[in-house]
Amino acid sequence: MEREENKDRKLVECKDGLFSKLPSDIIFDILSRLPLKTISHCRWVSKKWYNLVLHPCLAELHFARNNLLCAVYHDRGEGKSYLIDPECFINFETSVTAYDLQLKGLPENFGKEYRGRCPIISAIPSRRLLDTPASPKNQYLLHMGLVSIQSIMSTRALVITEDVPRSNNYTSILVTNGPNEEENEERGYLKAATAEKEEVGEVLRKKKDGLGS
Amino acid sequence: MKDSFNPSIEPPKKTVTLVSSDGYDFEVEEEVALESQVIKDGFEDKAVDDREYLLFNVHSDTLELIIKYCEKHVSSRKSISAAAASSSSSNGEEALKEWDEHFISVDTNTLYDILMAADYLNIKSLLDLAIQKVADTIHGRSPEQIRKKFNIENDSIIDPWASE
Repeated sequence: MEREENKDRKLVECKDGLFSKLPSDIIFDILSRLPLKTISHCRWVSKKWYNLVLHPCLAELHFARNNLLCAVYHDRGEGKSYLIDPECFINFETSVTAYDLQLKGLPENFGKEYRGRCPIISAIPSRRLLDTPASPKNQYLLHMGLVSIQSIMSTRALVITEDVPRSNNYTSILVTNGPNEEENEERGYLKAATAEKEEVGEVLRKKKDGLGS
Repeated sequence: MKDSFNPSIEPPKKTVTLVSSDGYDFEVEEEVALESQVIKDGFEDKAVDDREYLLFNVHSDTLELIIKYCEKHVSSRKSISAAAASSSSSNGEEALKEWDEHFISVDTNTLYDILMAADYLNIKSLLDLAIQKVADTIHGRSPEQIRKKFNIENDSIIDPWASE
């Protein structure tokens, strides 16, 4: 193996745009391993990345990989869905960033399985401010509730919708990926709905630690 | 008195020849080459004396790294299972993880080459390692930093974060 003459190769190949040529499936894989905040930033890297970030495939991959730790806020007025980092449920943050990842097709992506319409949102109402990176000046006011992470093992997404725009009545819909999960889902919701705010936080934190270990 | 069995005499190892895109031959052990799912898939169809693979998409520099990775993984797997069989404690998996970490700490061009080669040869664990490395590098960076790091041309129509 005499390869002395190859020493120059690095110089030749150090040209622009190697990573621009990555196949889409590899970029999907890379992005799906990142937190929502970084994915959202990645949109502005290039046109190609912009299109990939907004592709429904990424949302699906992201859910599959993170096995669910994602919440979706569905704005009926706008007819659009936003991804919410579930951390906000655990940390009781006063503002939440909704990531506009164009999830209009979400129910279809998840096999049209809408389950467990439980109006738990009224249980622990807290006014939260949502702003979307897509339009930084555009802010959304809404109530959000808590969900128990107990239900998360079998869940892929939580969709929170406002029944009538600005009516302050919300319905949460669990969108699942598999059959026979009603039982789990029911239990999780009821727990969240009946517990006091601090208790729920404690429960969630414990569940989260439990899942992590 | 019969001849005692001599365990130090092993059957000659079967080898496979991998040819890089720039025409260099690499002779590797069969089991090392079989780490690649692509080679494994076509393996049985090839005659024993014709086990040569032309890897048009893999440069010799990259192939050398890939072979190093596969050899390491084949040998560690053996020592890990040997340790498990003799039920002696071993930190083989941890050591391998550390080795992987060190192996993948390369410049972005090399990382790209490894990524593409692992994808082409379908070496799942290596592809996973390389993708995770890219994801870790992107994590927490701004679009501008990502573009700089990976030499991606800025053709975005709008960048609301540009002023930040």
